[in-house]
Amino acid sequence: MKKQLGWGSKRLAWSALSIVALVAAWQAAAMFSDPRLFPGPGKVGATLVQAGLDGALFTHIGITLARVLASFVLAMVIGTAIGIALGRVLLLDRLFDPWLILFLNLPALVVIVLCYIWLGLNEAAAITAVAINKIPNVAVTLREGGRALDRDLLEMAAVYRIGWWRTLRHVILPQLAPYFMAAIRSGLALVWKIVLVVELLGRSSGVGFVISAAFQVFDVATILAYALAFVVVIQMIEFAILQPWERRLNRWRR
Amino acid sequence: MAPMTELEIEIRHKSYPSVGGAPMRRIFEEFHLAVEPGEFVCLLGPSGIGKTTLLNMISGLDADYHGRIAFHGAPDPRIGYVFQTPRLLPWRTVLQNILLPLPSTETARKTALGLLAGMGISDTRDVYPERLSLGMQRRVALARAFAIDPDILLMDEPFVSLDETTADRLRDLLIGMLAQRPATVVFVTHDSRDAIRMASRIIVLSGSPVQIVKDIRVDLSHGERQDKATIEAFRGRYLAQSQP
Repeated sequence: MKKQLGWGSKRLAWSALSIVALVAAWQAAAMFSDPRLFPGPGKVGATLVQAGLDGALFTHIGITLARVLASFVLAMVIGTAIGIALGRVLLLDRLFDPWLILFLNLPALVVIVLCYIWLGLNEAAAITAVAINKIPNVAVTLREGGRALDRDLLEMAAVYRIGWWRTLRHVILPQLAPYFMAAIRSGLALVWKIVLVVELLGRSSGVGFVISAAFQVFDVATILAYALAFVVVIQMIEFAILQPWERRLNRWRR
Repeated sequence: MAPMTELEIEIRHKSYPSVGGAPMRRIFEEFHLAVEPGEFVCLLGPSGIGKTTLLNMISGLDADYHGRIAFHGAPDPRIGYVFQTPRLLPWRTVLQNILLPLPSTETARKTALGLLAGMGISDTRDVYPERLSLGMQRRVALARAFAIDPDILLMDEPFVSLDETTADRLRDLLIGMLAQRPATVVFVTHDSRDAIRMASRIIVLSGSPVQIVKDIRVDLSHGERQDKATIEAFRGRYLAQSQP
């Protein structure tokens, strides 16, 4: 335990050092640039505090986060179901593998634009667009998990007739946990970036909307302030939710 | 009065399809076996002959055969299956593993805890299986099989790769459990001592397709089964030729 703690705090120190170096480099570069086009950390920090004080920062980040969450959950559920089905049933895999490749390579922008055209400029279209972008990634990852399911344990579940719900909950999902984690990690990074594009193109709230408004007037300080704030939020999700959850899931490992 | 046949196996034909250049293998051809209620049948035969396949057919895991397996005692019997490996869920504790096939009731919980106590492994209830020795894991698998109060208990070399002392302790445990909760047992092994020590009937299997070459009643008392010399004598009398 002590050793772990020492290792953890050492890593934290390195991370802090690394961030300080980045800020210093940023400050140095800003000193040689047009402060309007490339503001330094001080200016961006002040903008951040200002946006935080008048509440706009939290409102927009909250809205974006809600969209991230909604589309993320949607994509995880549908992608997992598709992935398990493809991983378990060879016929389905053969039939739908080309579809998966098509959707994997479809540019996010095309999906977003088509969703807005077909479903209208509304919230449902925005969330659907993001989910469709993420579903193929989840499906591909979970398909590997579906293929790797332990046959011995599935047989045990069948003989003891524990039913589909217990089989899913106690036999299948725990085996998929590492694949789930991989999909969540890569998903979170991907989804929030796509949500920003969706907001930029067709929503009048959220971080993407703020950035598009700031773009109109070349307000680089606001763009950077919001981007940084959101990066911090995503990192907090990683530290406060994902890592403890992963530790919990891995308790049983020797 | 209970019917005289609990389990009736009539396999007209069972074969493994040819895979990767290996020829198709006929495992069973006109194979018949009737098991009486409460019998402890040991299927004795060399590895790879099709004993596990037979258990899988009885349990319903393998339905790809021609023929019929009928249960006369209960039409839809509860089947406890102790596999060759413990097949416990590594991400669930010992107690959760035993509760897995049981309804979520307080009675079921009491049953599970009672079984753990009866097998002398109460202290492992909150431990994850992979932290236990193989002998302990096999005990848990045995407890899970008894938890459902099985009509038929299928056992596939459940004491293999254990040291002799541990295996002996588990054999005694099994006999003790069966005395309290009687069940019809089909026990697969390649170890004739295993068979003589526990079985009421030994079926010696051989050949391909599998044939019953011997069907022996074992009328030894509990005391005689503990005695190494008696076991060896029984072995010499009935099983010597088929077990070189």
